[in-house]
Amino acid sequence: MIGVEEILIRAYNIFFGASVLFLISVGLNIIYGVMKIVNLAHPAFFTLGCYAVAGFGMGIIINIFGSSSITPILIVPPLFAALIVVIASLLIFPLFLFMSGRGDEVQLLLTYGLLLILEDLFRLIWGSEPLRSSQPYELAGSIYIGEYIVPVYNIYVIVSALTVALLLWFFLFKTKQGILIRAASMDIEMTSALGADVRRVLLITVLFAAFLAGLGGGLYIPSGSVMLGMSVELLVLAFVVVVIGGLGSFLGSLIGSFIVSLLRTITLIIFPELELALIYIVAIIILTLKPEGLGGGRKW
Amino acid sequence: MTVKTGRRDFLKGLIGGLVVGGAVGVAGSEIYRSMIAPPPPPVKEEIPTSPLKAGIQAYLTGGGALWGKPMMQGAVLAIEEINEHGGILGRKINYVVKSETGPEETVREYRTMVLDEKIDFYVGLISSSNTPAVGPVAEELQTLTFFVDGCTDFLFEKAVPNPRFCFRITNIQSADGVSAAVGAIKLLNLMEKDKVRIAHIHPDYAYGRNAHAHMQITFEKVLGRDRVEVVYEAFPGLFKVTDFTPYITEIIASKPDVLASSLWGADVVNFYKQALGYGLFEKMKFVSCIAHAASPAEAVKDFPDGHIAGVHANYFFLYPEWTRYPVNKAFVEKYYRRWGTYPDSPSEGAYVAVYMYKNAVERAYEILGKWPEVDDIIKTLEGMTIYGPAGPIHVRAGTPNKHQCYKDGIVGISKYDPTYGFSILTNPITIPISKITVPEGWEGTPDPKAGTLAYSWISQTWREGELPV
Repeated sequence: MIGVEEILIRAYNIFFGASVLFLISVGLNIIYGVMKIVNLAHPAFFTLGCYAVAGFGMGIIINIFGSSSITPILIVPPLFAALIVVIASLLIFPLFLFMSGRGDEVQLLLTYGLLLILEDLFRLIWGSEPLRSSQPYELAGSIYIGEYIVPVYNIYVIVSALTVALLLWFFLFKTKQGILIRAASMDIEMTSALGADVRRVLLITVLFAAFLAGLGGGLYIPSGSVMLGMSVELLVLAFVVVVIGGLGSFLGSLIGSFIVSLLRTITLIIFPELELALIYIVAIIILTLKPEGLGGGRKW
Repeated sequence: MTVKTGRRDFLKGLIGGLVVGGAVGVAGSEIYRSMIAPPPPPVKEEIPTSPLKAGIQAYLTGGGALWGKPMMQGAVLAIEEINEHGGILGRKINYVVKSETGPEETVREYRTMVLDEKIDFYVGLISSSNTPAVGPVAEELQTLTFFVDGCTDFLFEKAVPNPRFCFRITNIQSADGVSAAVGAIKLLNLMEKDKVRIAHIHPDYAYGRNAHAHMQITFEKVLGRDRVEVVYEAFPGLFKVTDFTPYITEIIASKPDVLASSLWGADVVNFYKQALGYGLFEKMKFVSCIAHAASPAEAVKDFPDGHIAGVHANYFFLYPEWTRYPVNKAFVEKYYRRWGTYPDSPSEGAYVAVYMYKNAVERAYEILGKWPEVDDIIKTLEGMTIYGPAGPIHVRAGTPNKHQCYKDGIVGISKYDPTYGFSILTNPITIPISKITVPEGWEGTPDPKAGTLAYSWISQTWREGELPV
């Protein structure tokens, strides 16, 4: 018998899972939307965000703010991670310029190569053991939903992801830069012909996607751990999200993340054995029946 | 009728008797002397001066690195120690380290080590997916191979049923699940409960499936089938899941008394960290067969107190107690000095593997008087017992599970220790391996469902409702 509490707590899990998936996949979608590059290295930016916090960021933050002041310990790590990832993506921006407009095979090889290089860099810098940084998760504590206990930190992740989604929507649809990004995603030559600095638009796109990945990593890491090889696992999940939701669309990331998270929770209740299989089966069905994805067909 | 003996005959007989008796006496004393005196030393041939080469293969990346790194460190420590003391019969050991990954790539690297690097012996592997893949290749390439882990029963029961070149140090996998379940029943006093509700969470591959089957059959046999109720079972992919919260919720909702688990490496870290936030550990007892087994400083740093701490039925550095068993004390001190951390199951296993090779070579040399051929080393290894840091370890010579090594298992209760700064195993109970594993000479068939001899052996020979140890 499933009561209100049981439904609530599962909804809570679904939103948490969807939030993390959204933060991983949205940057992938933005870069594809504008540059038509399937950036296989994107999840490595998310992982870099995790490493930036767990590897050294949290230590610095605790040194500055102390270990008991909750507000900075919640807010600063994701921003710090985003900053580090933005700096890293600035360094490799020329690579994106080079890839833009070239064939799929060049893009796939280069971005996957980049993912492997980044993974090896992680090993070089942070070693091979999984790292954690759970101070915010512990500091935030837990609350009761009926007789269940749930961690408050997950609520913070959900709220943050929603805020990011709202700001992103506002940015893409209401600001000049956002409109330029969308214009470039529809017809890059026309946008250029109309006098927009396309190079600048591309730079902003790459930095923006990196910012979102870093932010996501910094938000996620207190509730889990970061390890080598994680980028590849995340890549697969992010792909399922965009396949289901639709590649190149902001809305697609939202829909895809929610559906993947929902499917996962439902299979774990009914038949745990099918957890990953069901997600892929749904992805295959959607690819066959509606190749542009559930949120696709429309731009953004 | 009486026979009369004449004087001449008597003399003849006397002389003959003396001659024969003397001859026998001389011969007898020769035989006697040869029995008590040491045999003449075999003519010792010159030992080659070229260095030996060891191949080490370990997870150096991903969720398995918590196991692979200490394994490599254990092997390297043993090699460095041996080299410091002049090598094996004067031959120094060089080594090459390769990465353990999936079965295909792992086999490829193994072949490279044998064919290109020309290793003399091999120490490696953690995963149960990899040993059944590498085992047949080791036999094909005829290379002395010590698997540190990759403990699946499947290796010596099906993949390589009559091994010549492969040996395995860790306790067989079925013993892992059985030890944890027996330990849980004893330490948590489950025999006194009317009914025990059990939930399971295990990684979805050979190891997790095996742990699930053997923990479950042990609970059912020892507690009695009617007293055990399975309320939830889940098998997340190995290192595929970072967000365990949906599992945690389902486990809590199913209200078990005991959560049996063989999650390991990064999975167990993610799981328990997230489960802490959901208050899982206040609602049930967590019975892990493996969480404390490797890199405890990283893996179980703030693990909750009062739960079953499993070490893969192998080794925790505090036991056997140092004052009672100096071999362990010496090992822990040397390991800490070299690597700045405490040893664990995989490092102990790899360390023992290297020393097992050294002992076998030296013993064979004593007998043969020359550097032994690989078959001489194998013959010496079979049936050998050496004293490792975890205690005596025995190499089985006969079937079933020929070339599997056996040592007593250990299970305890988790407790955070400020001296070490991580959760340690306390209240240890030793599980005599002979009581919980298929003995040499047992002729049964593997259970069709669980796929192991141990499962059949337990279900056919254990008495229901009775503890085996």
